[in-house]
Amino acid sequence: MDLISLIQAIQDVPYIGPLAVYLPPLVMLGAVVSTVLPAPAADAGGWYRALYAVVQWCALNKLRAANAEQPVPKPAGAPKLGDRPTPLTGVLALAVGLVLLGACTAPTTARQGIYAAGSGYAAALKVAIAYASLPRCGQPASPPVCSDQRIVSQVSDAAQLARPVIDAALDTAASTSASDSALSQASTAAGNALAAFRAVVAQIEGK
Amino acid sequence: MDQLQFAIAILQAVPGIVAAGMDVVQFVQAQMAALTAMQAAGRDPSADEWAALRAQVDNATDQLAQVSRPLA
Repeated sequence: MDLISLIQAIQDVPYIGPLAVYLPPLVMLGAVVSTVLPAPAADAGGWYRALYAVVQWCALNKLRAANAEQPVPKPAGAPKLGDRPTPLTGVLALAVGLVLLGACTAPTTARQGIYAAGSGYAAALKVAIAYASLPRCGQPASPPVCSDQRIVSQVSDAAQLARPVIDAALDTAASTSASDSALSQASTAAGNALAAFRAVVAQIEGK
Repeated sequence: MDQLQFAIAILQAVPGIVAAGMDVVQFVQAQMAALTAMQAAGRDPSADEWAALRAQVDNATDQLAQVSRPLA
């Protein structure tokens, strides 16, 4: 039985089958949130304990393997909540990164290559906008989900560096008199500029 | 910030982040579909498609410039 047949067989189970499709996203969301949700303190309220338990169940953390390592206690002076960006923003970068990997539809002409590079540049800009739109880390009311101003500045600078190359490639592609070699060079330059910009944007994934 | 406030702040941020991610995913899917259609038809992008792409780049550049400023 192949994977598709297995999934179809699960979906055919009465009552439970149609709901099974929601299970993987639920576990994924629980796993992501559980990475940033601190364990309840001794004096934590009942609501927080209940919320924490639900998230742990969703993340499949509740039934830990008996041979799992015990967590190492944090040393004194470790960063407090909100002192640094959480990995939650990585959800955005991870989702986009997966799509960008799949977006490598090989262009068959230089103009298509330039179009693909321009599209990739616009997509990377959108990722940068989403990250830069978050509140900045290190503010007085330090939010737990925040953006690092240093990275925002680096991404903005990298976008400005890549923009003239992308623009020049788009101009070349729009010209009906452009030679094949000019189109090929423009496509290569746009691809390189996009790769450099993506490398800077990729920093968001680790934040 | 106590633990409950921390948890609430994270949960409040999730929909916005997911929505932003979906916006990018939809854009990339649309561009991929357009590129695949071009390849199937054996043609290059039309003037309208170039104009739409330039508009996307221009808008995104303006937005990034606005949200990249250091906050007071």
